[in-house]
Amino acid sequence: MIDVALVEDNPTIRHGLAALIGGTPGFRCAGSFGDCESLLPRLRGMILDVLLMDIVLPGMSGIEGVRRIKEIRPDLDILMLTIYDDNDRIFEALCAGASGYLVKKTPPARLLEAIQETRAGGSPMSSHIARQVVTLLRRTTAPRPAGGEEDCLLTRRERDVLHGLSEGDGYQEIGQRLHISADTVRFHIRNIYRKLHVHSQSEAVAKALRKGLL
Amino acid sequence: MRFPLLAALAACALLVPGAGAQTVIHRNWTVEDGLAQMQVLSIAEDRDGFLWLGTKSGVSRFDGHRFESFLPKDGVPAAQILAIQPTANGDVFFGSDGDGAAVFRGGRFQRLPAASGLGAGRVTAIAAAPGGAVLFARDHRLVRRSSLGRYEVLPAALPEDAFILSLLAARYGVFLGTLKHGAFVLRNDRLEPLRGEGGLPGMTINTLREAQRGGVWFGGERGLSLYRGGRFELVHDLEGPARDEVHSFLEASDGSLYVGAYASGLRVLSRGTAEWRRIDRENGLPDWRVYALHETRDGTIYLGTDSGLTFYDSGALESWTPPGPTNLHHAVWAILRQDRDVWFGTGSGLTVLRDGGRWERPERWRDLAGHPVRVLHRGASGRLYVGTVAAGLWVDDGRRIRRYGRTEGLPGDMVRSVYEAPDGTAYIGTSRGLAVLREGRVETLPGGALAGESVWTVAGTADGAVWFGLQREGLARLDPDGSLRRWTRGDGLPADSVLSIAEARDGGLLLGTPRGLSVFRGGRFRNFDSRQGLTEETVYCALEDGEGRRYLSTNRGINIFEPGAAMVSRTLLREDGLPSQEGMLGACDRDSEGHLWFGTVRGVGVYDPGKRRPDPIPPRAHVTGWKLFGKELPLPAAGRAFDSRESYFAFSYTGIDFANPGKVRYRHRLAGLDPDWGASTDQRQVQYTNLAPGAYRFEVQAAGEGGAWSAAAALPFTIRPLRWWQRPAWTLSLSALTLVMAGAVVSAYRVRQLLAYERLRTRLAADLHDDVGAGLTEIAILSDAHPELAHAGETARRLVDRMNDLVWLVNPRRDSLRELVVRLKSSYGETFAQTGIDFRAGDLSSLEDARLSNPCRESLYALLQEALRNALRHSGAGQVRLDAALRGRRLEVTVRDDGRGFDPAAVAEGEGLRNMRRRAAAIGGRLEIESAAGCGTVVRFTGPVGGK
Repeated sequence: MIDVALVEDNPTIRHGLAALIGGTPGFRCAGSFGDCESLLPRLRGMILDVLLMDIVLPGMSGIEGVRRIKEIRPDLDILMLTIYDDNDRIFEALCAGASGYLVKKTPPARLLEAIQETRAGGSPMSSHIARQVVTLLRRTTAPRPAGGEEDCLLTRRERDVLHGLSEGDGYQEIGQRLHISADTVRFHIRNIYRKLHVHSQSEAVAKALRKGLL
Repeated sequence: MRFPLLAALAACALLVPGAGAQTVIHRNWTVEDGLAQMQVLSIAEDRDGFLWLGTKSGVSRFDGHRFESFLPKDGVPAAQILAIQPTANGDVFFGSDGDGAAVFRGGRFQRLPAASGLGAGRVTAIAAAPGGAVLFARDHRLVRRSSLGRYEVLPAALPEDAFILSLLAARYGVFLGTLKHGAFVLRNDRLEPLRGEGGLPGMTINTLREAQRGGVWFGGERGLSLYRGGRFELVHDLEGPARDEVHSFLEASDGSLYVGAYASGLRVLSRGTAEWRRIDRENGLPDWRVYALHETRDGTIYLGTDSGLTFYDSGALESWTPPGPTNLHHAVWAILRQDRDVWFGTGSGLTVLRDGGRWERPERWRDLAGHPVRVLHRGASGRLYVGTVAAGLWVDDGRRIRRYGRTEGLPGDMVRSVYEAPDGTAYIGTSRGLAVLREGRVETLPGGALAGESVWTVAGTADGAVWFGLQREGLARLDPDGSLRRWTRGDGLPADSVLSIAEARDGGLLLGTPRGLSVFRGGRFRNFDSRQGLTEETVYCALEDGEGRRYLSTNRGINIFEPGAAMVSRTLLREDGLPSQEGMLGACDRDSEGHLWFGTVRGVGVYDPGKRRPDPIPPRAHVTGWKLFGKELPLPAAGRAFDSRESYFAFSYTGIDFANPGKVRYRHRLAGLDPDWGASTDQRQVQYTNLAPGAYRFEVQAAGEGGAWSAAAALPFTIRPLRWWQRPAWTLSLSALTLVMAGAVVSAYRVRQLLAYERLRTRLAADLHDDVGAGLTEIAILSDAHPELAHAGETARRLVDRMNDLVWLVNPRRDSLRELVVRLKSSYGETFAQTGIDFRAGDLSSLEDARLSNPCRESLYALLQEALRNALRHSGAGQVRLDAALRGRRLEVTVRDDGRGFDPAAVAEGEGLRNMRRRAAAIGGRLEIESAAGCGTVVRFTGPVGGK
């Protein structure tokens, strides 16, 4: 059983998603909220695995919401809800600690799968996001002496995965090339997100984000 | 332990390229811009105004915008091109060091006939002789080509080892300069040596030029001499410890002399000055060796060096960058001209440029060392005010320096602006409020007005009022009677923040704000922003020159308004000599000589409005190409006729203006269709389609900085009516729609409006997408609950995808070819995988730098989408490959499958394919389809990057 809650200000989408989750065996809808402010006070006691969170919300933005929620419940998987995946704010949310994102129009079956995958430790990443990650890590980590590793934050494998993603390759293709399964690719992506989150707490990255360098 | 640290700092300072030096050369073109090769050995201008450049391998033709290059495979001699000589009938002759000579005639290169003796060997100099003849130096002999095209080898010859380096057919005879054998003159068919009696600049003469006031200039291993009245006079000897020789020389039409040295850059003797000025790499010259010097018809100087073609713009800004290792040292906040010295307030403190050459930290101000200086103000009382970022205000009254900070009663230690009124009262704007300094005491305005409001700037006007630009509360005016009036956005200010204030000649106020310039006059605000062509809306500083021209410093260069103009007339950018395009708040000043000083994040740019070229000569307009459905048609082809099904034309044109390369504007019309000239544009291509039968004439004019339109370049042609059987019913209704293609619509606007339009378009698309995307998503989710609405849900999801593409396409940041391929790859990857097709894209790493223009991106994206969809639906392939590659400036993209294929000849071309062709043509490209039954299909797009 996966316990899912969601924050979404559009009532149609909120009710639709809540109904979908609540009505599917293996999922439970632990609550649906119109804004972060109404979720935050109830978060501590809630039984919850995955939170779906809109980015643009009235009052506190989804990104700020992620930051606060992660402070209270660092274990929680947060998936950002977005209408289109070419959204720069997704990246901000990922830096704030989100585990991935979902495009709202995703057909129901695929959407539920994505929630399951996230719970199992996988995360989606688009080529656009992968490039931003590469850029961020390159810009904010000090260059190593010649011949050294470019940034030791990521493992070699993780860098290979990022490179493939940023070239637009699919998980299958990356997996084939690296002789690993698509699931392992997802696992690597998850680790990249985690490192990104830790790394983006640093002053250098915060500044880069603030100045709109990314 | 202090010494090593200082030494380290000093070493750092030396490492900063150009730091502390004055940069006078700002524009250089290299192979990356399309030049045939890096070393530019010879330069000449042809009859039509094109600049020809001879390099070590190949030649290039330059029109101020782009290079067209010709290589040995195009017929150019396969050796370094040492000589170029255009003729009055349009021919251009080229001489090479070892592979003979060639001529460019009728759009192509031809070798000279073998009988001329110029088919091979060294043709190191060419000169135009009176009567249309051309003289060639072939090793130690001369060959004359008569105006009728007959060649003869002149009987007179030099000794066999006397190699001719330079040749001049002057009014007084034909002069020759040789390698190590001195100079000769051709008299009565005999070559006589010229004895210099010490005045000849050595026995190697590299260059010969006719002098404007009579005589001949000789440039050689010992310097530059003038030969006049039978005598040589050494004019310049390239002073300096290292011996160097004159390699090239030019006497400009204004009388200035330019000497190109072999190993030490350029020397200039400007008209009216007595001192030679040396210009080398310190000043922005890209290399030491100056092979060639040329003055264009419009009076600008071009140089050929080991590192490309260089533009020496004597009317450009001069720039200075204060020395120092960090960005802080280079950022100039405040400028104060003091006689021959200039004081700079920088991020690293106070720096003074003494007498135009030496940087110094004034000893008197040593206590200030290390404090960033933001304000420099000299009051009428003679007091000097120095405002710092964190250490308050320092005032020097000539006897001593006093410091005022929070402990002395200033509201804050960050001083942003100071103004001393004629009565000696100083108004001090700080980030925490306003203070008044009167007779050494810090006070507030009566009633504490403005004492708690963050101030950006303070200025006084001739009527005795003092004005305050506030950070959040708009504009305030203090009258001499002590009354205070205020204006905010509600009163017509574009923003509640006023960054800079300057008084205009007409008594108005120029207010810089984060939302453009506001001109306050007669109680009303008139606002100027991107709609008026500002390159950036944050106006850091605004000022007027002596003739009423207005200059606005922004994050993207200096915007100039001519007096009374409603639109930005001109922009000064990096290429005009600004050290950085990023201005600094409040950092601009006009000195007593009328020079304008602009502080930037990397030094200061000085503009002399008096040196501004009047540019009376409009550029020359040329139609450079025309295409029918993307296929190049030969030029000239006046009077050709087409049938109306063929009417999809693209015209490209150029205006040659070397004084303002890249800043030419155009207007065009299609006589027979457009009654009037279109609005001016900087586009160099226009498309017309669906032309009704009739006679047409495409005309284009060009204008440079002076604004005068050139004579029109024209291309007439005819569209024939169709026979009845050729006529599909629908074309008639379309023939009314004439200018539909993007280029044509676009050309109706000035480019700056275009930029604003572009931004609007992006925003509209984004807004539209958010709303429509959210609505469609709702529909999709709603219909999930109702199986009978499944189709509606699918449609809604598909539309979200389409919107997604739209938003991606209008986003100007996603403009590289690489991103386009990546996007196609990621959006089709999954679908191909589900269908069991192996879909791959080739190596992307080389595509990063290929920038696509918006129309190009849209068309290419749609075209490739169509090709991929076809492969997905119809090919039955096991493998699909998408490859993109750049070949020079041309782009080639292929979609290749190993599916069942088809016979293109046997299958009627469907709407999809026709659409693809049309899209390819719209961006000046071509679409080819190779296929045969059972052999797969290759769809290949080739076209110029950027679509033009």
